[in-house]
Amino acid sequence: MQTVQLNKKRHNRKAFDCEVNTLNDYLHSMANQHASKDNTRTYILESSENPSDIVGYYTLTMTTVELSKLPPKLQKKHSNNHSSALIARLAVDKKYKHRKIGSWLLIDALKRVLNASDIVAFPMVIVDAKDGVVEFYEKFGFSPFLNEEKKLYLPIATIRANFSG
Amino acid sequence: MQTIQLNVHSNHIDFLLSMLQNLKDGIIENIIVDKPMTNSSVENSTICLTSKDSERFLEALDRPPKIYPKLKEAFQEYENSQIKL
Repeated sequence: MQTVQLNKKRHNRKAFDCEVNTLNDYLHSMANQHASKDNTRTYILESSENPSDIVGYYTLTMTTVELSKLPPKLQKKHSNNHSSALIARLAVDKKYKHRKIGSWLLIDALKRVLNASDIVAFPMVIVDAKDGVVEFYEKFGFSPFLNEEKKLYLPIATIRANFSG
Repeated sequence: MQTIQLNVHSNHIDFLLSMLQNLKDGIIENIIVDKPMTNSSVENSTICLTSKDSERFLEALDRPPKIYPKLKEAFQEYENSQIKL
């Protein structure tokens, strides 16, 4: 099993259905446009029987985290802005649910993020947990922001420590 | 007469027509037009944290990395992946 970048000529995007309209619509209509403008990268897990059939996908990009109103001692030590990787979307087709493919895709995404951070350093990965999947990410160590409950974060150093040895 | 301008991508025409038909048939009562899909709320945006979240963010960066058994287990399953697709 391996993921590949979305290829609109190869992958049957219209057939993908994860039962969440926003995630379906993004793959059907926007993912390729965003990739062509270098705004996001969407990775596809293909069916081994039919590579045009999309089992699941995730989308990676970068985001900026702006810190505010830090105590003076922290202001001296830290920048006000931090670049972070963002797992903007992650979805599995309904035909493949309950087979741990969501977990597999998350690890695949984190491995790509970890490799990217070795080249262009950034300290954190953020996930945008759409439609009530916060608990899914929490069990893997992600912490939700208090003021943005659907966004969760995990330090790159934590990913590295858990993926080594 | 009120004029409404919508910026609709050709890929969304079928979806829009089905929504309008549902509106006509009374299946839905109204359509709320939010910002265009191209203006994604996430990609390339800035996440502005409150002071409390900012402190928690920095604390997470400063402390030694934690081991999360579920994360480690999922990574090992990934490395030995036998899922049939």
